[in-house]
Amino acid sequence: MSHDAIDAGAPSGGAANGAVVKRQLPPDVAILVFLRDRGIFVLWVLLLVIFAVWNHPYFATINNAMLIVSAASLTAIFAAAVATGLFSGALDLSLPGVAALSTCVVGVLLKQFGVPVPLALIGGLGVGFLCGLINGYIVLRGLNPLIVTIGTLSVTSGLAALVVGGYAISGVFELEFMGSARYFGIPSHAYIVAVVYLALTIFLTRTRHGIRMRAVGGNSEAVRRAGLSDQRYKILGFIISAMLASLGGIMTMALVFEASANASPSILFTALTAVFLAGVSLAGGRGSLPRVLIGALVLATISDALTIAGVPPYWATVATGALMIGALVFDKTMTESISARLVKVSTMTVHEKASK
Amino acid sequence: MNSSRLLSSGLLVAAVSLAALGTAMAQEKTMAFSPLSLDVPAMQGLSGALSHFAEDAGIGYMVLDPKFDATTQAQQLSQVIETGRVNGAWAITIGAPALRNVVQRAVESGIPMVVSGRPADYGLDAAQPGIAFSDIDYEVYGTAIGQELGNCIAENLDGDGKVFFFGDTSGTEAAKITDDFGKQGLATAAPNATIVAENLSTARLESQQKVSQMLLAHADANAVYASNDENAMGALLAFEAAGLPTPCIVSGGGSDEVLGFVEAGKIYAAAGFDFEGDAYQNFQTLLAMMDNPTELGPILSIPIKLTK
Repeated sequence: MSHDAIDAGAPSGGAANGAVVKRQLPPDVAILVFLRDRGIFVLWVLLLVIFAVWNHPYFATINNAMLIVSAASLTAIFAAAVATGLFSGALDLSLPGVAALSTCVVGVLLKQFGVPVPLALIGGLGVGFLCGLINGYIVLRGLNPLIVTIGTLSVTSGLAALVVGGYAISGVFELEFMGSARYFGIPSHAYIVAVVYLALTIFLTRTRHGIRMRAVGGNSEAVRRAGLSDQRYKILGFIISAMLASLGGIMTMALVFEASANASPSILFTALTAVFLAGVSLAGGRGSLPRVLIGALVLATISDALTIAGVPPYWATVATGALMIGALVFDKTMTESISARLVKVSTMTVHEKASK
Repeated sequence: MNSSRLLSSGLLVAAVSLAALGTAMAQEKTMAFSPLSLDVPAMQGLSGALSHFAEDAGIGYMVLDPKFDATTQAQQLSQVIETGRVNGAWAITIGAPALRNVVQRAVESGIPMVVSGRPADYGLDAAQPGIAFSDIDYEVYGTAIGQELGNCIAENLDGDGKVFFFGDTSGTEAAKITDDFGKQGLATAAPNATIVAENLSTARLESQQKVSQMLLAHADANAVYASNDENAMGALLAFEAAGLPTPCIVSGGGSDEVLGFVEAGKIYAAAGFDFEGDAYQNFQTLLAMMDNPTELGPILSIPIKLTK
């Protein structure tokens, strides 16, 4: 059982094994493991402290904290969509298109057909379900997921524009309750993110289907040899991912009161940055959802602080890119260092045993 | 031991420097400017002009870059207004409804704003204290582009125009208004002109490729409605590459490059919002409201600059 699974709340047996493994680690390896697994938390806290001093007295306020939470929420939902896809072994690039299509469908249902809000929301999420199912089904025919999802990105973007006739539908005020509204001073988006992350974390780490889905992402062949259907879990990954993208699109619409067919790829890049910051593996299987949430918060914190400081916007773009590369280098360095030290320790133990 | 001391000293110096910077930031009166996107040359020029105005007026200036994203624009403006980081802000609004809450909070916080549009766009029924509205009339804008194209067709092609229509790419409600009124303006000025193909493009190369492809199906096309300068330049290059006579082209925008081609007679006209001409008026309005945020803000209008 990996440390990532332990982070997300692994099944009790696995957690126990993990605890045993942790107790046996030499101190230097334990520090490296801590940095790899908890580095993102440390980075976030460090950033908060630095920005609080730098942007005094504007940054360290409850109000600004809520603004950061609000800004991080959308990234967090799209990042969860990307991460879920990666956990099951596929990077879904169609997410912006799926989000745009769902948004437009909800907008049309609400404004042109007068459908009640709950039904319109179900309709929007249903679009995500269908897109995920179609993506998964096509990929399982043996096609490359990246190419397939680029194709569906184009299809869904075009369909979104067709649904709204090429122009955005504005004045969608029906969803304000899940947009800019605040409850007990906390943005409504934060509640949605909390529910989604809690439910997904439980699903991925405490349920048989969730654990199997991650196993498929890690080693699909091994799962197949164990007599399980890897195809079902791959499709499940695509469906959850697309439905989360739909939710993200609907949340965006609730904020701007507009159903736009614009499938902005920047959503995907920001989400990917959060996911890589969290150390989720592109190869699938490995990663922790709570860390993805912190990744989204780190990005929102940096963006907020640079905006408040009045740093030229180009630097914010540079910082985001540099952060992503830095996170990848850090993760790789840590993983290799841990492996190297563990091999060394294991070799030493053999010699020690032999001498006895 | 020594290295620990060195590290501690370094951290202390860094903290003091950051704190000093923060204090300096807190003392200055500052305005923020949120354009559509800094990727647009006209917006960069506008930001540069505002920066000079602010410097002359002795106030701080910061520019935000929402990159055509209404959500980002709302988030960034909230971050600088709700934290009290700025004392005033001017936003060329991407999506007015997205800024409803920002405007509301600005009124509550007594931080003046100049925003695009009319009070109704923000869910308000009248002028507000400390909020000036800079009205952008997309109907007049679209009509101006369409009408000038119609004029060119009437003057140079005996009214027999075959038009490639490159619509507004933003996909917003304003884009729909601009495109609809552009078509109406064209129909009024050149009733016999027909739109033979429609397309969308933001980049010059893409526009050039699309026009070249459209020419394969409509080799008799002789006019181009270009919603932006890149469409106009791309179309001009495509017609030249195909060895066809220079068509009637009217551009929505008006960069220096396009104005040069207007002067050279290759592009018939360029119509654009005179943001730079409007900048000083808006800046002065914002400055006055920063001194007295409780007064009702005026409703201004952005002039349209036509060059032919």
